[in-house]
Amino acid sequence: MAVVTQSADALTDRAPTGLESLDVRKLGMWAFLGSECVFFGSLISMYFVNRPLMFSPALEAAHLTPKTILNIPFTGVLAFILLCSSLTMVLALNAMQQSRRRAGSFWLLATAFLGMLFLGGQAIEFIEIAHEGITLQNSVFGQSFLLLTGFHGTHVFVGIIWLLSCIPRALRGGFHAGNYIGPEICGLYWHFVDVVWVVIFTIIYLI
Amino acid sequence: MAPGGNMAQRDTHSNPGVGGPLGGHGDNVEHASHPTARFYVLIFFILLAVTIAEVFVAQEPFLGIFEGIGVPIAVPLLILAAVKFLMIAAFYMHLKQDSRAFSAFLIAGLILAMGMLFTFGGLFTAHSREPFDQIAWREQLAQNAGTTGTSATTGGGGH
Repeated sequence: MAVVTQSADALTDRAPTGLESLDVRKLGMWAFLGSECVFFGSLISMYFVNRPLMFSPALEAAHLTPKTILNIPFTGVLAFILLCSSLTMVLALNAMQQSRRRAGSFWLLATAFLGMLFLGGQAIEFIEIAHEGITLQNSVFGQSFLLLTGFHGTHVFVGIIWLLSCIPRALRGGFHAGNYIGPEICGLYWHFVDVVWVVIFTIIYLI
Repeated sequence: MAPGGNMAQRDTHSNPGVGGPLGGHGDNVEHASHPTARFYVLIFFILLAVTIAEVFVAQEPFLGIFEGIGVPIAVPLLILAAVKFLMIAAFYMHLKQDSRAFSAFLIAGLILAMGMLFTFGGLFTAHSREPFDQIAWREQLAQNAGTTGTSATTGGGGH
């Protein structure tokens, strides 16, 4: 009996070590982000597999290849906007870590605003592509490009909702130096969305 | 500005704080100091410079220069993208200072994604494919249907 009691005490009192000491919410988010790598990897693989079909002589003659359709300077601005949003996100977390709730809320709002700006730019890009006559149904490029960038845009949209949902609690002082796991996990997701755009921007637009 | 002192401590969560991170209070137990806002801004400007470099490398005259020396344009662009990827993951996602277990999840996902990319690339692009010609495909289908119909009629007549 004494042994059992001692074991129970050992279980409850000992300090967590190794993997036990990690925050399970953060660990869960990283596991999710790992699976997201595979998800976007599959979409990028699809684009690569279909890429040779997007540069046929007929399409090049009609100026309907990705190089001629996509507006790289405009997308460069979108990449800049998303990069700025990553900065504002990390500044929001930094403010929360110092219990500066107003600054934290402001930077969260700025991040959400920049995310909306990015989505607006993406909508303009999609409309321009549709005006070129390219849709999901009628071309390999349309299918591959719109599916990949569309799913990325959906992730940005989810991120905006998440950011906006954090703001009321941040304003009430719910996040402070002792508890900032909420914006930290939200930030991980947001930075991942930015990292995915880094890859998409290079592979789809520049190469 | 040098963040080394702030970021030297790895696995800040392993610090056995009061109650621990699984204590159910929703509190962070990190006691290590965090990088400063100035450090994050510095990282931003480096990332911005790399992004501008990417856009310039992809345009003339740099495009021609790389082609001239026999280097595919994908090589410098992928290197620059990898630099941005690593910087965001290390500094903005705090992988440099966090537990390596978090990095393991990301690396595992990246390995799986890269494996899939190369597998599908090998499977589908090992041989050059002709662009899909929908009109020719429909004509072929109609022709096949006609042939089948004729043979079926012939077969039926034979019996």
